[in-house]
Amino acid sequence: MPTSVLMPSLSPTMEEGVLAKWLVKEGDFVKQGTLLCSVETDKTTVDYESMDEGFLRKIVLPEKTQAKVNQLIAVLTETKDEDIGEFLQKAQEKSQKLLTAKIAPVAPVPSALAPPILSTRSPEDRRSGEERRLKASPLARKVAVEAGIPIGAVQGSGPSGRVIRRDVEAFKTNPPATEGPGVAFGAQLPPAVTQDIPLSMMRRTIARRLLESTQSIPVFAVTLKVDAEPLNELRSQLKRGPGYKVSVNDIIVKASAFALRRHPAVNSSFHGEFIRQHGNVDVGVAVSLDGGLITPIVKHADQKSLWNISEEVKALVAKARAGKLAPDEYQGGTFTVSNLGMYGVDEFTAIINPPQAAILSVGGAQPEIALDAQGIPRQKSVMKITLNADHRAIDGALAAQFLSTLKSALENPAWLLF
Amino acid sequence: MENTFDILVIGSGPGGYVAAIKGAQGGKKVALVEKSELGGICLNWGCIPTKALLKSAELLDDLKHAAQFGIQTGAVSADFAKIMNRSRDVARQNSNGVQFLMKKHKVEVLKGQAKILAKGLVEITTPEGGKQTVKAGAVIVATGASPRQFPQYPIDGKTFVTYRQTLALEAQPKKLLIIGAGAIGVEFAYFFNALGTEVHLVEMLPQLLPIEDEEIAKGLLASFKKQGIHCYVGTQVAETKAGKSGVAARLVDAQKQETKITVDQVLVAVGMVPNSKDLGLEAAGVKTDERSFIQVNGHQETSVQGVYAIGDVAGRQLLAHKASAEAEAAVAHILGLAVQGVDYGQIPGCTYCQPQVASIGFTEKACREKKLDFKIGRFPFSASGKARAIGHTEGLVKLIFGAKYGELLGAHILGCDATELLAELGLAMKLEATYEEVMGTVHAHPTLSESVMEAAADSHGLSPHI
Repeated sequence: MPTSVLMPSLSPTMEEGVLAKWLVKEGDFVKQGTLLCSVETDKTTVDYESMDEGFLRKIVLPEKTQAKVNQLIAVLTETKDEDIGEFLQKAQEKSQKLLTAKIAPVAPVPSALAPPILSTRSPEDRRSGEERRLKASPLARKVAVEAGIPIGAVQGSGPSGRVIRRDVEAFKTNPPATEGPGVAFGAQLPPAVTQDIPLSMMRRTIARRLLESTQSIPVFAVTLKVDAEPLNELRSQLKRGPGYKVSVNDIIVKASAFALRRHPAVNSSFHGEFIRQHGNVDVGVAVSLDGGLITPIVKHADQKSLWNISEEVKALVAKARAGKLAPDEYQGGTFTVSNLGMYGVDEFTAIINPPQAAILSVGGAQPEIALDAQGIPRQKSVMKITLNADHRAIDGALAAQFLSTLKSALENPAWLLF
Repeated sequence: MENTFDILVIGSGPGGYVAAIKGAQGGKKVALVEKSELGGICLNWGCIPTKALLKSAELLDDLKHAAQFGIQTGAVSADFAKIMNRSRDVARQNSNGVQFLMKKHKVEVLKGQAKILAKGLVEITTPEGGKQTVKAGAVIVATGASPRQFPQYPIDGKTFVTYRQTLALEAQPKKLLIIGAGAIGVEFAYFFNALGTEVHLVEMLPQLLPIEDEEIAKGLLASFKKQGIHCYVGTQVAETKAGKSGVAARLVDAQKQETKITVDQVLVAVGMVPNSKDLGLEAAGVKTDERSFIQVNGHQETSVQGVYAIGDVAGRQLLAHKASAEAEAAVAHILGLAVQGVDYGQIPGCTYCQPQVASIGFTEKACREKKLDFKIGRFPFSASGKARAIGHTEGLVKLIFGAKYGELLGAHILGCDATELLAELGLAMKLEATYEEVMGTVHAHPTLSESVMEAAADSHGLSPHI
């Protein structure tokens, strides 16, 4: 009996996906759990494993082609050369009908059509398919959750690369470093050619959402200068002592959470008939990727220590760069921090990530001559921070108050120790 | 060259013969030196023949209680000579099995006493006195351990015996004093008591099976007393005097209370010493510790590169399965494979008296001493339907989990088939399962193993049956 393989729904919001690569050939035998193909969604690329067993009789959807969720992408058969002519026709009709009927994503569906992400687990244990396939001991998972480390970012040392407790402990004390930017010199540059680059799913999403943002949000920007000396002093103190390396960005995430908690109106989103003030302070951190960007989220950033935030951001960035973020790790933030300071940028205004009401743009610390309290000119290290806000939800005075609290926190980083 | 091997293993116990097979499976030319029977103490004078004896004792026990199950038997009696003969037969069959395995894997067996002359050079003296020198790329020392000798207990094979002579006794002692309530002492105590010998079991430390969990040991003590074994814990044998009418022994407990007993035989079961003498270790530069155990690193290599030591002679737990695990580690290193060193915190320990005792990991006391934050789950077999049906309601499953993450820190079982029930907890520990996985694994009903699941649930107050 032939079985249909359908385009999986890999995230709650996924409507369509691009078949990036088939990982098996026609005629191959696949078992339950064999990786069939990688599917590119709006935000990430996920390997999709077979729910059934059989020979991959026919690939219906070629590579680099887009399909809607539940559209037929391949057919499995019990024997190698089974006739599938009739089945193929019926299955295609059926998946076409399903598409036109637009079934609700949560409606119960027959098992052959069930999305590959099983939702039988409790909500707090819900992980992406990618993550659940990872070999990790239950104990390692618990230690990782407690430490805020995504288990997928940890290299396993157990049998067959299984992540065991000591790997998570090692990751906690010594997380892997991320690579810095680099510039190629003339001789290494490839020849310049004019070319049309097809949009990746991620590029499409960026284009759609940012256009929507600039077209629909009445935005205004407020900029403040921050004395960066105390912040630098804090970092060098940490480095001198137990060797903690905390980045400027980590401190800004922590300070933003501190200020958001004290100005909850900034931690909000505009919904036409109402403004939703969020109970959670979930701060997104813009991360640049090859060919796009993504904003993984530090959830409950107001309740986490600077150290925890630093560890979590490192892990999230590593995962983002590996294309392994789970949807709930980048969806649903309440505020975003975008930092271009490390590229030597003075100041800039980032585009709001809707439905959030504000985004913080952080420039790099620059030396500046300024008058001190006695009126004597001194060299200072100054950093500019800009808040772009949705005026429907946030007024100018509120934006200024928020930035002022943020500035105070950054200039008195001892506040962030609690 | 005929007398050159990739690997030479000295000693053919559960460490040595496993090492030899593993080496041969890895494509190496292997020789195994044994001065006595293949299979070492385990197969010939330890684990296996004692289990054969214990089976006879259990069967006798069951037959004596047959009426409870509605079975009428005539008078039941034990034939000591036949019981001992069966045990020897079982040992012989197992030893022959090892011989077959050696042939199958093309391991050359060399009879005789080995002496390391230098790195990679071993001299073998045959029982007839002939000598030959063998070259080997790697040498694995797996010579085991022997009972410790005490001047006050002169082992003569008649009045004072070790486990080894006990396994070849011709006559059943009427009254037996067992000094030392470790696994050997406890197993023989059960065996002889079941057969009708008056058994006096003396332990210097305050509990039977001193390395086991206190609560479990207390349960065993109560059971042994009920069975009629005279147990003396926290007690020393102050004096033994051999005379015409047997041995008079004076026992002194912690409160200085004296007990005088007279027995016709004394089984000395206190302590083991490594068989590290006469191997030429010192001359070869192989370091031993203050108790003469050979010192090894994480992959069993000694202070001399290319010389490995495994099993009892390398110290730590003196257990057959620990020796086999070390054999795997040593051979993996010789073959250049990734070595998963032995985790000594995950070596199960089993004692096969009735009720059986089985454990892995930390005792409750050890957890307290390490100041660990832990939770304990217990399930008594008296609450198990299966245990009631088969008439074995003695004992309990006791599991210790870390309070924060719920990892399994220790498992302790007293009762029927405890030694078989322990296996899943070894797996749980190895795979870093937490109480949730043990509790959440569906166990077949009715089985004794359900008690493991129930104990895991009880650690968090979730057991439905207690």
